[in-house]
Amino acid sequence: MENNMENMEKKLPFEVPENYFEGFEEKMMAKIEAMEAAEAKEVKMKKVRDINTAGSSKPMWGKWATGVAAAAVVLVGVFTVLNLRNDVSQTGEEIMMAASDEEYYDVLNEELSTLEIEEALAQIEFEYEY
Amino acid sequence: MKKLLYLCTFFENKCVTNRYIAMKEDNAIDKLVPMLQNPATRNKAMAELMRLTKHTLYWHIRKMVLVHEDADDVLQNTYIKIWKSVESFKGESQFYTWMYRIATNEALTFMAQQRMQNVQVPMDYEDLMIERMEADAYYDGDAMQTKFQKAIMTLPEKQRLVFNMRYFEDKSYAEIAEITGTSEGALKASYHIAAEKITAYIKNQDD
Repeated sequence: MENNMENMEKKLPFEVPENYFEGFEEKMMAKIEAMEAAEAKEVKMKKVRDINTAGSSKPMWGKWATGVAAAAVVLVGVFTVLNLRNDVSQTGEEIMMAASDEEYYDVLNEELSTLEIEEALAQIEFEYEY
Repeated sequence: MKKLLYLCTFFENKCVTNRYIAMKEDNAIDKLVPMLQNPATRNKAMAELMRLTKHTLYWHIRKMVLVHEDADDVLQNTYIKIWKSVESFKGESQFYTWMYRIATNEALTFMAQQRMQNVQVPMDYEDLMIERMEADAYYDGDAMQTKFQKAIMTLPEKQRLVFNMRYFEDKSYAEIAEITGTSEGALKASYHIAAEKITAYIKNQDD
């Protein structure tokens, strides 16, 4: 019975659609380029908006409201980052919920060093963090 | 190395040959890094990177998520993450390891997402995955292989990850240690426990 695993053929019972790998990189590059183009457009539109609003004379309360809103955004951002930094046992879904890609990359390396495999694997029973 | 390659061909020892090819690819991939970080050569290098790594990363992911459609999604997300973060790659680890980590993380994230979405389903997520695997048009397992996959699915997610890398991908403990950031000792213990669990599961099913 111990030999069960040795006898097991290591071939995986998985298949892929015909020609899945052919043309994968072309398809993916098209997707990446479309994504880049959309992001570039977004940046350009933002610049135009900034230029348009730069000279406008807003009423005082409007400026206040903008300031308060900006402060709120910064606070939320700081909280998110602090939470992410403080939580050592970060899980996949927390990373997933990170507000921006940058935060994702910030925690990416951390996440894997805290996969907790070491701890988890030393025990027979494993508790899901999810 | 030539002699080794000759021996591999002679005995058709696929495992060692694959490792040799992987090493050769490793060099080619490392050479792509400066090109990936230069905007002028980035697109071309990215296409080349995908050409060299798509099979390895796909199969790594597929073993985790089991269903082709999901593996395809995760692979695409992986390359998008690589594209977006390659500029910040500073070479603290090997590039290949770094990519593997992203793929692993993407697969774990995907499963966490799925687990949350299926929280209402009156069924363990693992059983649901097996059900979906068996219904997948691109699953072609016989009774024994299905039983083996079911046995692997009884492992905790991260133990399953280690088991797959060691058993199916023939990775060395040193490599797995680098990818997962875990000590080799812990990995060996983990693999041993996983193998025992799987054997026990299969034995139970047979009795």
